[in-house]
Amino acid sequence: MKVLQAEGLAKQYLLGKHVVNALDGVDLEVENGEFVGIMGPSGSGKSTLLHLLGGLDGPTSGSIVLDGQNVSKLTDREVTFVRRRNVGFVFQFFNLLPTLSAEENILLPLIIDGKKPKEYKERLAEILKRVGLEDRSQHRPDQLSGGEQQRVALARALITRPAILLADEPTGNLDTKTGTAMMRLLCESAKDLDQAIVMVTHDPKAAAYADRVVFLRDGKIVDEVAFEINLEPAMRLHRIITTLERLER
Amino acid sequence: MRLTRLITVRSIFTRRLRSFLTLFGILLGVASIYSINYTNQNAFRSISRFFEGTSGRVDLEVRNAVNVGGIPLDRLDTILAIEGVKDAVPVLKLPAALPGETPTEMDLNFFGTNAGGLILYGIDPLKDPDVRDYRITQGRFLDPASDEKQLVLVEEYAQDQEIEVGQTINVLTVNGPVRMNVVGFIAKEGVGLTNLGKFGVMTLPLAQELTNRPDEVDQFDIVADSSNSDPAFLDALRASLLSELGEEYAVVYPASQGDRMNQMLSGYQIGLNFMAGIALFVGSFLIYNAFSMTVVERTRELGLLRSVGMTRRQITSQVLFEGLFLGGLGAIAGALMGIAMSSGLMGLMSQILGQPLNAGEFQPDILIGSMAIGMVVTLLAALLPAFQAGKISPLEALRLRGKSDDGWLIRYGWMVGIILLVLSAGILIWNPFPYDVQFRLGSVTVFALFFGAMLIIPVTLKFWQCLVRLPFHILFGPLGEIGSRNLERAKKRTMLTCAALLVGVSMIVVTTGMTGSFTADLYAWMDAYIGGDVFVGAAVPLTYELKDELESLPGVEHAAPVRYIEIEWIHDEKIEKISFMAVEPTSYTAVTRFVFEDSDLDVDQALDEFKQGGSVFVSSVISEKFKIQTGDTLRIKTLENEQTVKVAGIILDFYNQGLTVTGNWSDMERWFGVNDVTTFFVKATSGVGVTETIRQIKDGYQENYQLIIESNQSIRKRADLLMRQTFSMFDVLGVLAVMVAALGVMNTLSMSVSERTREIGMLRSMGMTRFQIIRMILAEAGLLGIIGGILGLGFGILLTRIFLAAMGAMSGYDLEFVMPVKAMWFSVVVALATSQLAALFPAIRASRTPVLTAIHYE
Repeated sequence: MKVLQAEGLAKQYLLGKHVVNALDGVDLEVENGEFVGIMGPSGSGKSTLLHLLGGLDGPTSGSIVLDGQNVSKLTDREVTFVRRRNVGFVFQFFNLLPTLSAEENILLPLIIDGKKPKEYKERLAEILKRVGLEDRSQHRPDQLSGGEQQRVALARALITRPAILLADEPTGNLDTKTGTAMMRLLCESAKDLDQAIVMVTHDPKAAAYADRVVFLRDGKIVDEVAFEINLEPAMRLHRIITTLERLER
Repeated sequence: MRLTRLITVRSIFTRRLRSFLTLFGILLGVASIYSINYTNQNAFRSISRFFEGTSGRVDLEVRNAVNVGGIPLDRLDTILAIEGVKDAVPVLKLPAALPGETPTEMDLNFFGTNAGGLILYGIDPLKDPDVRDYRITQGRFLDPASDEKQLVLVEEYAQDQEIEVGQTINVLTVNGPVRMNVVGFIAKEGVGLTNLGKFGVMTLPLAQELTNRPDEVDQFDIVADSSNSDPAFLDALRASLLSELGEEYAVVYPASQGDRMNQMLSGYQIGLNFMAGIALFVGSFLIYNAFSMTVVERTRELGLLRSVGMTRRQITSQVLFEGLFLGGLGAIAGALMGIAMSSGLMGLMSQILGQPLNAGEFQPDILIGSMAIGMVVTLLAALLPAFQAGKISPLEALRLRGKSDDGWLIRYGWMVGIILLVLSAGILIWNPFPYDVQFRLGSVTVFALFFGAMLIIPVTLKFWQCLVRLPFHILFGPLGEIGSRNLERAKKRTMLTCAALLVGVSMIVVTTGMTGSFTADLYAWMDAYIGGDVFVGAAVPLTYELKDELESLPGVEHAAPVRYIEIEWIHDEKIEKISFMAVEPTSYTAVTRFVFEDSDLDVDQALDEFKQGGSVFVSSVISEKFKIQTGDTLRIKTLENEQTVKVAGIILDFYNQGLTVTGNWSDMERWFGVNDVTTFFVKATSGVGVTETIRQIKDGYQENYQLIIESNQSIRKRADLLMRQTFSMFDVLGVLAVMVAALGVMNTLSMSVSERTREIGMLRSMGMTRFQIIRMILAEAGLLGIIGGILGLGFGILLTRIFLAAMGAMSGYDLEFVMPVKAMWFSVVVALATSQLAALFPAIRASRTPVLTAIHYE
């Protein structure tokens, strides 16, 4: 089932007197349980695309239908509620509240939505187990490693069972080993929870975990690579790198 | 210089709000100190100069030591024979009044009441111009050879009364009206300023005739051989005069007449100075706060400067220079504001004192002193942040998150705080030092108390969070707890902001608490003192016989005569100048009552003793200050040398700042030879209204006696207003302290929000609405307000009790502490309201930051 349908997305910015076309007619569809990677050079529009998909910004033209709702036509307040209930975010810099424990950070979206955390004990326990933080749930962010903090961020993004999870360079602030562990988690979440994930990354190794990778340049989708289910990671990586090299020429 | 221009000056103009807050803190402190010092000094100088000016070239005055009764005229020869005396002239003073000049109400001011009227001096017209300047503006001066009853008046006063030179007028004196010929006018300067220009002169023989004192004068005014500027010579001359004339005479400096007024004023002014010090203290908090935040905000920038080669010393110097720059600007602005404020304060002070205060010449020492204090305080407040800035490592340029500010002060400062709290509270409560030392220490000890309270705030944060959890959940929803926890991020900043609120709220509680306690006692006294229904006074002393005449009116049930005289009391071999209020016990208690302090006293027995004579009631102020109890004896100077009187009871009495004893009328006649009346307290006949009683008195006697007749209700209202005006200055300073604290809260929250811009963006991305962001920040501010408000309330009550006890010990004002219940609620509400209002702007600004901008904020 399609959880996200973006058609003809365009985004223009005004820089002084100069108009910048950050996105220029992008179409994208994502299904439940699908893990989509977005790659491209700096200035290609990948972060802009992610922001539009997550309702953090509005398109100049085009439409975005998320979980059956056209979010491009909603008011700021309505979009906020969509983000609250239908979208999960994972950022490069974790963005945890330092005064809350790991558990409290994870429950934050529910608290914001006025839900009683006690009613979500089971879900919390399940997610803590999934991200491997059962023993660290009472620790504050300054007591956790970078990898652990990013796992808290992931758990927070998953707690509301959003229609889509958007990740912006989730391994950008992690070392290789931790980054790999994070990517595995994302992958497992997509499979086990039937969670749709869209991830922006400049790291081909991270992108290799996706089911398909979309390549942007100058605000347009210029290529796409879909991987067979059982394709070896090394092969996935090879295809991504090859595509990138071709696009650079 | 280029570096300074490039870095420091740009930083100042880039961070406009922060710079403005720093400037405002300095401005407030400097303006308060300057305006209060200027007003205080001018008030003192005005009063002293006034008495110096009116006495002309007079160096010393010889009077009766008892201060009532005259001195023989023939002593003049003795005085002139003393070495060192160049000139000596006699003076006889008469209170007088002109028909139609009588005011409709008593003039009330800080020093007491004033019935108005003229003061006339009987002088030697040939000799007096040698010691005082009389500038004739119309007509001529007195002619000693003339037989007519001549009068010379101050021109301005005469013109107000529409009197012309050559006119014959009725002048009401103590012995009735006299027709006098106005022969000339003098300018309203020098001696013409006496009694605010309501002044005139006549020949001495005429004055003696009108007062039935043929061989007496009130004083001899002396000009010394040497110049006035030689105090040692004057001291020696004074000693010679006292030695030659004997104990029954007093030799005083002319300006000393102002001493009593200055003494009465000094207590009030000490309070004002203390409040100015508090304003500076609060201002310095704001400055430290603003500088600390600037350093935090510029951490990465300063780290970058370090990484490109700027030394620690250079960084520290730049921050200090910023302090100097802002300190200088703030001091100048504060000085200008202080000059503006001082004219307003002078106006208010004039009203309170009941006499015009001259603006006085410009006093550069006060201005420079205030500015210097402002700059020094700024530099001191900037010192710690400057050193902290110097310690920033180049790695900070690369750090993604700010470091925690949990340094030594936060981790261990609470121990120092507890020590300071215990020590300062102990000193303030148990007074182990002599009072004069303790009073000077007082301000420092209070600061130590506040500082100690500030240091314990960080370790108590969890307690406060638990305390407010439920109410915040109700008020702010589940985000209330998240908001309140944000105070843990920057504990030093939280500590400073709460402390600023604490001080502001304390000041409000102290001012309202002390005012409340003082006014409670004052109202109790006023109820008794302004007893009866109608007050009857006059510019000219009234005769005792008027009592019977008043009581003959159908509307008057009783008329109680009252007379005030200034006397000397010998206590521990020192002379204390106090007031003696003489009353006729029977009529006085029929009209009003004494308010006895001692609940165990047998009132009937005390009154009987008082009626018999030879005993007095002593005010609670004298009792407290000098440790006088019922049954003790006092030695007072009388015409016959001295008299030992028994203390029959202690009463509530604030006349003459409480330095009053109340005695029997017949004792006054016997001891001081006085039997005229200052005032009658009148009780209206039951069933006859006060208005009707007043009308009867007016119709019967106003014209003949030039009476001032006013209902006591009217006097009470005006006394109440005067009191409120007197205390208003303290209220203003209390409010200013809260305003500064509010700016501190706004500053703190702006910084806090600025640091969390990305985090706020994340929360918005997660679905937090703008309104929820605002609520979260308001919850954070709310906890600041709760901590500052409750601690401020507690310390305010503690300080009020301490100040009242200290005031009682030092001045004798033994005031009962009245719990300022309204002030308690008001202060907590003020703290909460301040914090919420101050948080509103940063909260709204935070909520409006576009989500993307926030997320990508670095």
